[in-house]
Amino acid sequence: MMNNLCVLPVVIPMATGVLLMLTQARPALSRAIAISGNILSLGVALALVETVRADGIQVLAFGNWPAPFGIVFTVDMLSALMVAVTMVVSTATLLFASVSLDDLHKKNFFYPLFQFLLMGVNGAFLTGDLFNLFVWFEVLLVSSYGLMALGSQAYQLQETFKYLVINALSSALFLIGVALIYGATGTLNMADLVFKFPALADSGMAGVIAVIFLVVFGIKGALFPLYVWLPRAYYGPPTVISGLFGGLLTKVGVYALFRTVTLFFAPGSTFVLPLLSFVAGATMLLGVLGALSQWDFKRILSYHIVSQIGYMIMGLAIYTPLALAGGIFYIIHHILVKTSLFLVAGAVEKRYGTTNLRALGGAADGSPLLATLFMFAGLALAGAPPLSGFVAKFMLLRSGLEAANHLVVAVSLVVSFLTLYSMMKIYRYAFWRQEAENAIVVQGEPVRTFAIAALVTLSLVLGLGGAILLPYVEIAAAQLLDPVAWGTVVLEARVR
Amino acid sequence: MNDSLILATAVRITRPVLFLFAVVLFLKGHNAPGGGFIAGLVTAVAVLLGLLVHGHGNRKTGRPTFLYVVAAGLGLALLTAIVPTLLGWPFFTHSFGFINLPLLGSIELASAALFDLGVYIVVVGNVVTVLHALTERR
Repeated sequence: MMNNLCVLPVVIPMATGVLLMLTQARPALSRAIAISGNILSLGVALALVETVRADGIQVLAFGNWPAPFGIVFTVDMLSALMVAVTMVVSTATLLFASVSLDDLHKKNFFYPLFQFLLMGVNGAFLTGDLFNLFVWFEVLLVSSYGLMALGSQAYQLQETFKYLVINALSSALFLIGVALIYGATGTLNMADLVFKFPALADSGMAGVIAVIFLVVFGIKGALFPLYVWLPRAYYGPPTVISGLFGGLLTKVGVYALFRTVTLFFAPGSTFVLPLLSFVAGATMLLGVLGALSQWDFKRILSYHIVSQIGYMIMGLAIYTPLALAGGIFYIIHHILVKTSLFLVAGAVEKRYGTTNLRALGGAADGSPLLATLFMFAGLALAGAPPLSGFVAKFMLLRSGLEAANHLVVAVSLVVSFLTLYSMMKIYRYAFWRQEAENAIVVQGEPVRTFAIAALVTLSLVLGLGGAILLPYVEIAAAQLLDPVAWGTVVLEARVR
Repeated sequence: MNDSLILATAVRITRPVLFLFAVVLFLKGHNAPGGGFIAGLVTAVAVLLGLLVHGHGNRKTGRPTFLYVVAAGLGLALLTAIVPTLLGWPFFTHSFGFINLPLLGSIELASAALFDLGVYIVVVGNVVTVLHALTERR
């Protein structure tokens, strides 16, 4: 099914970004354009989800060159869901940012960079070509360098430089991996590779390529032991930008793992899934231990990003329909909840001027609504019913027990309790106690609270009504587990 | 700003050649090595030589005028990709045709050249912005 709808989630942010470059000296106009662009993309993304549900996998061959000769966008349910949740959280983040950032940011290309970042993220979710995936990673990384350095504080520049170096390293490895695949199979089209990659299994080349890609996406997705760059890098920029990064960017790496592992690396390999299972356990455990040792709102949340990624990889490693569905549910839940937690941290920072837990206190007296929202989001992160985290974790644990993978199940339960402890620590120090004396009442609080409330409400809806999202993630998991069907649809898509 | 007479004279002669070379590269680019990207870089070299000799002159610093050029180039490239979708073709579909001109004979006109023009404008705008930022005195 050839469909131009597939490319709109990339085209709309790009067109909006270009417009915003022209209006960047006028923050009010820029804000209106950016929000309209985002809402338009959100509508398109939801339409794409419905189209995939009704008509199956969508393909778009650029320039009318069919796969495997041209570059294709391939939209299955996983891609469509990822684009949709990206647009949801980015719209909330944009609303929050528009009342939180100062003119220094707004007049220095915050809005265009934000749109180009979304363009890169959506492109990475939609593409069906490995080299094209590399290009989209670069688009989103270049935008993220800009956003991360915006403000030019010494700490920011120092951490941005490290972030740039480690990402340049992983991009170079990515290119090497792509070159190896091209040399060994003669194609970079993912659908074509589904049929050609298994032929490498005897030569040992398949294992080499798999390891290179696991390292690349392990760095980008912040997996054990390659997550060290994340907590420091995400501390530097304004909290709202950290929130967008924390919610979205590492998840592009996780998505790329879900995509490549199910298409090429897991079928016919004996070591990929056990390795991922170990990495998943280690990532969640070490991430949460890192969080326990911190005394800063933002740093705790950053370490929890790492820890939570372990759960998603756990779903991939167990590799049953229920586990993959649980993993995808977890990604969606995590993007919503993690972004909302960062936004709460941003709102608290706006009010009290710090995110250091020892200097904070009594935020529950100052803003009861914010405290309630944090409580819900924190419980969702820990996996308490009736919030979205519970449904996701239930699916993962059940699939883990069914697959008799007891060790990773045990680790994930322990980590859940430690997560809960860590959220209670934030609540106790930032929201209880005497109210800190440095409270500043700042404007824009209603809009900020609205943006957070929207995300938390969605988490509640997905928790109470898990059945709403369940059919979609089940379709996504079924499509992932049948790469041959996926490849056939893509290769046989008719061009005009 | 550089007072060397040799440099100033050399630049006066080489700049027109560079601009012309950029045009040749741009036109050759469709089927042979060349194209909008390289032509843009060659043009930017010509601009750089001008900066070396004449400095910034009276240009006001700190105004990123050339970023608007980047935006225009991006917009043009995006438009050439969008237009086919309005006619029911997949995104980025290009077409070409031949026309006969007196003296020159049959000339190929390709819509891909418009996309390449967008690339050219983006590269020139981008490199000039960077050169201005790196060479201006604070």
